[in-house]
Amino acid sequence: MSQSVVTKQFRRAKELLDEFGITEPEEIDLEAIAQYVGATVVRERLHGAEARIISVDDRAIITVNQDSLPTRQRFSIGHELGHWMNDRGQIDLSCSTDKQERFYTGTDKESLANEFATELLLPSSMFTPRLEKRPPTLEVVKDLARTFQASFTATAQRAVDLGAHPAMVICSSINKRQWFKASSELEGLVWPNRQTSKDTLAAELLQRSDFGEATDEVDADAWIDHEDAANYVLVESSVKVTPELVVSVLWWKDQAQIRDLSSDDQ
Amino acid sequence: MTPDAKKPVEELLLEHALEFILEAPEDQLLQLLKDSGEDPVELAREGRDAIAAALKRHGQTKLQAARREHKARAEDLEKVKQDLPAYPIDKRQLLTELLRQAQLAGKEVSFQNRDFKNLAGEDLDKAILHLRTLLKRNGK
Repeated sequence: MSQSVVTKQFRRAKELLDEFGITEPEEIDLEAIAQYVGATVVRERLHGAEARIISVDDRAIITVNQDSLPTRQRFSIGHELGHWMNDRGQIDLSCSTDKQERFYTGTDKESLANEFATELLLPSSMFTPRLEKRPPTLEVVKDLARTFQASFTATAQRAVDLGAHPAMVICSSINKRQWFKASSELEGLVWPNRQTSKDTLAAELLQRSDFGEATDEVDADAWIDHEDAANYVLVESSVKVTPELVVSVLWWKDQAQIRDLSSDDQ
Repeated sequence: MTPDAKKPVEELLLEHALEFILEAPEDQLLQLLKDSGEDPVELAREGRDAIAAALKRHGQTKLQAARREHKARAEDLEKVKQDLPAYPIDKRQLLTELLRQAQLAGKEVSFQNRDFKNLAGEDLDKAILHLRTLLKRNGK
């Protein structure tokens, strides 16, 4: 996705927060923010969708699935608001849980709505000082997710984006990688495998019928597509976010490994 | 600057204060502060804090108003009762017709989740209710 398109989403979300003088995560009242821009949020039982938006001219009703996790509901409101800000007058959108997860990074409208939601729910001006210089461990990501009442996926992506450590967030299904996002130091240097390796914690979680999470050091070649990757280890923290998808955060305790891998490529 | 009767008092006061600061020559302003025994750096910090606090209060007032409006709108929606067809096929037809009529009337309509085949009867009921409510509201 082009930087200018992402920046536009961020700017729109930031303008909304500034409009209300919101400076703390607990002040991000999504229902009120949505109402201010003409969209009434209601929580009801929805079948086959996380959320939907119906609008006529400058008024909209956003319905979120009341059976979903509260963090998911919040992200869905942010996501639908992103559609409301970007895609008015269109009748071709559909947002299932899976679709929101699968299209987290991309160039389509779903991704743009996700970008908007991310900056609205996890504003960089509030997130970065709270992340500090900490690595994106499972505990850190979950702690920030609690603070911002956000999903693990959104928080993990933010931690990778804004963190001080080279890291990656990867969404995997049983067979293959669905999407990934790397911190700026890794972009173009280290690539994740296309297939989901059985040696990852993510693969173990995908085999299980329940939702779960796991964190441990794993051989880097389980994740990284590089001939020397087997010589290194990385820290994997994985969480099963839907029955078919696992989101994993990867980071390197020893950053010399990153330097070695990248210098090999140069 | 022309006073605007529609603006809140806080906003007007803020504008006047900013206007004064902007228009006074810098050396004159600094001298004035020194003569009065004020520390310009400390005063600038206090000024920034005061402006930030005023903006926050103003923003929070808007947020509270939006919160009240949301509560009222959501409660209104809960009260709405409507006659609906009994069968999903008829409900889909009604929803399609409502969308078509709204567009014909020149309304800008957005509808996400238009996967009619997967819409359950309950989803269709709510979609029709929401669309009717919005059309009624915008028709006023």
